[in-house]
Amino acid sequence: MSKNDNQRKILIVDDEKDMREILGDRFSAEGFPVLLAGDGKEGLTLAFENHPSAILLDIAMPNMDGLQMLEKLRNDNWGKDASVVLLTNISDTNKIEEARKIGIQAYMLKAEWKMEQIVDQVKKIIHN
Amino acid sequence: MGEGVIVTDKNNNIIMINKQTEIFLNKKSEELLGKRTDEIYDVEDEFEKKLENSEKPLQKTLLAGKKISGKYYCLHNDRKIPVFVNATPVICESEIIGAILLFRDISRENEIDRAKTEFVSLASHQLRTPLSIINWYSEALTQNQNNFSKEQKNYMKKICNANQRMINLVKSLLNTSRLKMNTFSIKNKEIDLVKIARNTLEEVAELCSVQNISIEEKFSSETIRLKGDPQLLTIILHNLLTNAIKYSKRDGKIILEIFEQKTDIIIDVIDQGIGIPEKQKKEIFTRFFRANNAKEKDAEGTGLGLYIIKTTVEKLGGKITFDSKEKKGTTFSVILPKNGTLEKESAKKLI
Repeated sequence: MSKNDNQRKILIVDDEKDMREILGDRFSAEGFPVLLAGDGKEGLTLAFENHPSAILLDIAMPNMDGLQMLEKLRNDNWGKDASVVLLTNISDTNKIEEARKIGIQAYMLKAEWKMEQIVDQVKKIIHN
Repeated sequence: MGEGVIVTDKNNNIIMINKQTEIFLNKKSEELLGKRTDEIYDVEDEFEKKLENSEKPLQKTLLAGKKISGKYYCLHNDRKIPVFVNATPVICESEIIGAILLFRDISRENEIDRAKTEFVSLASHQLRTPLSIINWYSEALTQNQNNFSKEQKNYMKKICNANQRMINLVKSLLNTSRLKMNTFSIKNKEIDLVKIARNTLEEVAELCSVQNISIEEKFSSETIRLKGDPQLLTIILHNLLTNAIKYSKRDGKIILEIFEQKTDIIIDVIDQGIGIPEKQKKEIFTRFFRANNAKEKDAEGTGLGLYIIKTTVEKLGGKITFDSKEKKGTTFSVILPKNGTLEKESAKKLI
């Protein structure tokens, strides 16, 4: 792990508490400071306050869903270049295409990936 | 609703109808008798393509002298109703003198079918959430299992495997329901099949290594182009290869052959595995069907793989055939048109 990773915050936005927590634990163990949010609204606030290096974003969430948050994020001066990994169990092409249009760095279907692979993907995106 | 009956003479003029037909067409029999059926309603095939007169079931029966049955749509009075139709020629002294059409309104059956498949689709998404949670927490546990006894490590492995099996099952069910619902998009992109095949081979490499199985590539050239949907082609190749691997013996050999033949691309997957029992060859593409020896070799299969392959191949305008001998091996051949099929934009994609 490069020393740089220590300052690189990861924001996880997911309404499933068990999911964001275990992912958060994993990223913490890898040396990343972690921020957790339970919906898009909370996620957006944390994103603007902390400018994380990568955002893991779920789609289906209460209050503000992932796509709405993504749209608001991309309208922001800092947020337009933020790194976003869409991490969801939704495989509806329309939703994914919509997210791609607004702009994401990667799309991962939760059930298909190990946390190890998600960490690798995030590291790759951060280092690029 | 009961069955509607329409009887016509050889020129397609209506000579008799039953009560049910009057209700269905909302017309009295006096208004219908003596008229040709094409003056009263239009017909579309099950894919909602409008049919020429000669393609409609009654006319086809009269022309060919053969029985026709299938799903159609009846267009009448600005309404479009799905019907199941049986058309039979009336033959007298080897001359076609007329035809009998039996039909049944299947709107309700279609609705139920749709609700059923939609439910599966929705449920699949919901099912994935707890499965992912089990997956990740098991991963976290196995990562830090220094304190585990040998037995506990073994138990952990069983949990992970069972969960993975469930994830695969949900994926197959979801794909099946989408294929049935006809609600996935087909892209018609210019693609290189060799590239897709190599990616898929990488994906199945781990599965091969467990049984020490080798796959030989026989590609007619370094790039084989066709128009098609990369994701659907991956599904076809992935399912064909995993089947071949699963039903091969230890240290077995598999050949993946891809070549061009006039306007088609041929994909052959040749294994030396357990083969398909002669008696069960007819059923292997049926949903949930599994051959006896397949069940014995691998108790975990879903019986959806070949169904998904066949349906996907057909969506791409292709055909699948096989040649198999029990205990000797199986060859599956997929023929795909180079020019692809018509692009279809729809809601969901196979994942």
